[in-house]
Amino acid sequence: MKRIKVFFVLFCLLLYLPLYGQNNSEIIGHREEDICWVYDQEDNYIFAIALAVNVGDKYIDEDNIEYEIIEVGGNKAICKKKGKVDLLADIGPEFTLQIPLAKEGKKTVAIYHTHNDESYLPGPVNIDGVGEIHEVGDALKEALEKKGITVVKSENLHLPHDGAAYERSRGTVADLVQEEPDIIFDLHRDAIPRKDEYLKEINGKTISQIRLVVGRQNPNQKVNDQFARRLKALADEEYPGLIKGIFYGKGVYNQHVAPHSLLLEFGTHVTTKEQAIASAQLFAEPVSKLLFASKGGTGQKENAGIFSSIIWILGVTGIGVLIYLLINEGSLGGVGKRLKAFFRKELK
Amino acid sequence: MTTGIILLMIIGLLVYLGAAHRVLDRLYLTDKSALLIIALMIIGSFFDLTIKRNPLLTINIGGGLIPLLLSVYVFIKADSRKERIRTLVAVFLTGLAIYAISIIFSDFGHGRDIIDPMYLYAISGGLIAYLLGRSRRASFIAGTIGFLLYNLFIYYRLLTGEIRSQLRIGGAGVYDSIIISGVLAVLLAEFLGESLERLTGGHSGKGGEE
Repeated sequence: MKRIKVFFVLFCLLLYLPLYGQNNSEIIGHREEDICWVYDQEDNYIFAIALAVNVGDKYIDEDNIEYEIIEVGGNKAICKKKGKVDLLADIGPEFTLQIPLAKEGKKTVAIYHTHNDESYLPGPVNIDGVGEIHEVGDALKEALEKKGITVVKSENLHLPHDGAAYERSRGTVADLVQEEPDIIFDLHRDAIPRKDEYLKEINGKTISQIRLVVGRQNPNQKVNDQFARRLKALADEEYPGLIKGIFYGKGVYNQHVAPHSLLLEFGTHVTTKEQAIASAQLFAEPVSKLLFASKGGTGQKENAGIFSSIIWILGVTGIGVLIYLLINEGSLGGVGKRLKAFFRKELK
Repeated sequence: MTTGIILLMIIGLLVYLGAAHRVLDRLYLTDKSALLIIALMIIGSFFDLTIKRNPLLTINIGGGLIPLLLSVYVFIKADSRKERIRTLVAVFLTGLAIYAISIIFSDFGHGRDIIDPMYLYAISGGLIAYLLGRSRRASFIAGTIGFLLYNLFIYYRLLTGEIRSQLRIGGAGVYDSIIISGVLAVLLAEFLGESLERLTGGHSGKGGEE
């Protein structure tokens, strides 16, 4: 045991080596070198993204073709085409474009930026705190407010842009949740170096597309998936091509704190701030349609997804407790005895 | 928000706080005082204390101050001087490890890691604390104060003007990494401790308390 301890402490000390000679320049957001290029099994290029891609991740592209990642090697991934999806029918026949997301009454959207320094500039360069992504957030806020939606926008800073940025922005999400928002958006920008992939002509104007990101590592995944699909379905009706796709990636992205949370990538670092602002102004329309949809007014249709999330939480907890007790008691009989003793003590 | 959404949030929180309650039970606290601490953490989550205005430094009462005070209490109640020293070393190493991990994997949280940082920081804190101190108490202190120490390293960088930002310690209240780290660290110590004891057919050593 002593040897293990010594090795472990040495390993910890090795971790600190990179702290010496550390480059102080902060990156400006997702970096080009982190891009993953995704191809299908016939080696046709499908998409690229500056988020990590892992086996099991899914992608629904602009035309609603679904892909699943089956292999990842370095910066290249292979995906399997699963075919065209019907965004709404796949989540349940009861979902239509007319079903609202929230109850009747005041509609609130919360906006924040985990990576405050992201800008429409090729990096890495130093950004002093607030990048251009905040201006995109302002444009979205203004456009939503014009449609009668209350917007709570946080200007909190979460820099440095390191691995713990999401840890810091969780505090902001917790604050925003106190305002009881119907929707929470974390605005980012992508880092793929091909601007043509993000640009689109809509109503005679060049805009940069928006990619929706759903975290796969959290109990709200199902509800957020439904939310993302409904949002894209509405956007496809209003402004085809505005939504570039939905990426289902490994990660939490603070989406576990509250349901109806999405990470949005507005363009990439080689598109412009103006193009991102133009897309934010259009994006307000499907968001508003989803919140104010005319039929029903209850939002109850989501309950299947919600209950499956609840079962997921309780199931994982139950299995975890059972494994723990089995290891420690060595038999199912022992587990039973321990549970009995626990309930006797707690319920007496 | 619909009723279903509220129910989902409440159930998630209840499961999490249930785990936190079991953890507090292991830290010289009675059942009732553990519940009181949880209630205080929930209520305290709504309040921040401003420590410094420029660059902004705040501490959330539920997510920062109460876990900090609880750690101090647990530290004072430690069995021996040796345990206290081991705990302090574990706290320092945990803080540094979190800082190092956040720099090495600067794109954490984007799925480029094996496990989400929310759990990884807590697990590394728990492992370091358990292997050094082999006690649930040391694990709790290293998990919570280690993360707080990491926050202070970041604040030092803000003070030097290297980065323009702000720091809100424990800002996520009961969902903050300070609490998650402490809870996970104890659960890990419990899991490792009891499993090791079972594998070795008895007590795993001097740290096998409680």
